[in-house]
Amino acid sequence: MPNSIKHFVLFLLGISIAILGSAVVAVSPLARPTLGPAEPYQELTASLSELQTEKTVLEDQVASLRRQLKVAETDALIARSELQKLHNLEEEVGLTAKKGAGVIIALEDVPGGALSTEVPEEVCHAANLRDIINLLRLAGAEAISINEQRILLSSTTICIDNGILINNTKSLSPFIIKAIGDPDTLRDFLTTKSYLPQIQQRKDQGSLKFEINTSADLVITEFKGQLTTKEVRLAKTK
Amino acid sequence: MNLNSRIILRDSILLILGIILGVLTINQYQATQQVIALTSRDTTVSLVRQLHLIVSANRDLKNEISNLTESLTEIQTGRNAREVARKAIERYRLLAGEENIEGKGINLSLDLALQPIWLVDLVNELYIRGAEKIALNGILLTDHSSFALSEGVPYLNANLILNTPYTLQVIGDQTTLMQGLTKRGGILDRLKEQFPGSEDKFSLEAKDLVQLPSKQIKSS
Repeated sequence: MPNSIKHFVLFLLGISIAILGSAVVAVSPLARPTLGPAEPYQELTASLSELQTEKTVLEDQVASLRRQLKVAETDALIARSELQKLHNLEEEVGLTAKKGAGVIIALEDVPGGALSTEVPEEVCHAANLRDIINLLRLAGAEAISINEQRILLSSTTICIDNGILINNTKSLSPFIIKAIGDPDTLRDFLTTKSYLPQIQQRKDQGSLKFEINTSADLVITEFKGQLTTKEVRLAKTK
Repeated sequence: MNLNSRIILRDSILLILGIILGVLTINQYQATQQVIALTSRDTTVSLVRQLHLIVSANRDLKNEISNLTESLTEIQTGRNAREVARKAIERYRLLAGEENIEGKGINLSLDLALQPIWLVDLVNELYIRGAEKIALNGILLTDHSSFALSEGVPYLNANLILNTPYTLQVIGDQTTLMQGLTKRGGILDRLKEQFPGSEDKFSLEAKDLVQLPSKQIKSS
């Protein structure tokens, strides 16, 4: 064997040893004493699933109680003006379903589509959803939901391994976003390329489905979660 | 040194050189991955963190069920319908931003020309960490608040120019807010990574009294 080839083979062998060594260290129990076994992972996943189910049940109970309370308030001897004020406020804070014209957006990965080099391989749409919500508000949306979760300012979107937590509820692609507002204005904002550059770029590359349809008859569900007022109170000095 | 020894020595040097280059390659790859994770707008939360979030959400829901049940009973028994309605109106007026409000919380100041996407992310992060109400540069944020950039100028609600420093006044759980914002790899770390040399541009302070204006009033 010529010396040059022999040297090259030795050099490659060295690199291979280093890579193999790193791989062995990375997966060894010594390197990750807490992540090795699959069992804790499965237990955690099962617990999460149970908690999510419990959360759905609790949210339905909250929504049901709020509806019952509304009926009871109407039947009770409360002044009509007070009642109207109460119902207007419930609508204002998102506790009643809202109907009207608007847009329906579908956001979904295209399997096998080319990914942008600027987007990490593990695509997570949480930031994309936040950008769309922000743009819809800029365009004058009166109410927004994603996969039937009503979106308020306090709604959070959090990236998780295989989906997104929206209002702390696990949500999977495709993401169906509904927004009530002037359909033409909403569509114009959503289709202006400079507003959602990353989404538009991925759509153009064929790696993301981003479809917008207008509708004259949308229903956006009420917020079913807890509205937190633990710390906030009326200011003493106005 | 005879010929064989020289060959062995040379081959050994080549092998060691290869190992060193391999280790450097792996380190470079890992460093690149870390940079991607840090500069990304989102980091994937762990299963444990998810559990914590959902347990906390379920606890809040149970509290809400308890409060709603109590209100319903009071109204149905005809004991206190007006008082229940009055309390509900007061609470919803707070939530809707129709009143000046106050409470414990934090002040976060950023003397950085942040793009609107980062403000969107900051607000999201603040609510994850226990915020109840937020004002930006003295303007109360509501369900209709939006951020935009027009010709390089950042706007709030399409018509209010946002000047630096950005001051976020937040009413909420001080402990979780402070811990969540200052944790390693948190949003402030990601911002510092995104804007090298900006470490002294951030100011975070727990406040026993944060006062926020109603949604109609600009306080500063």
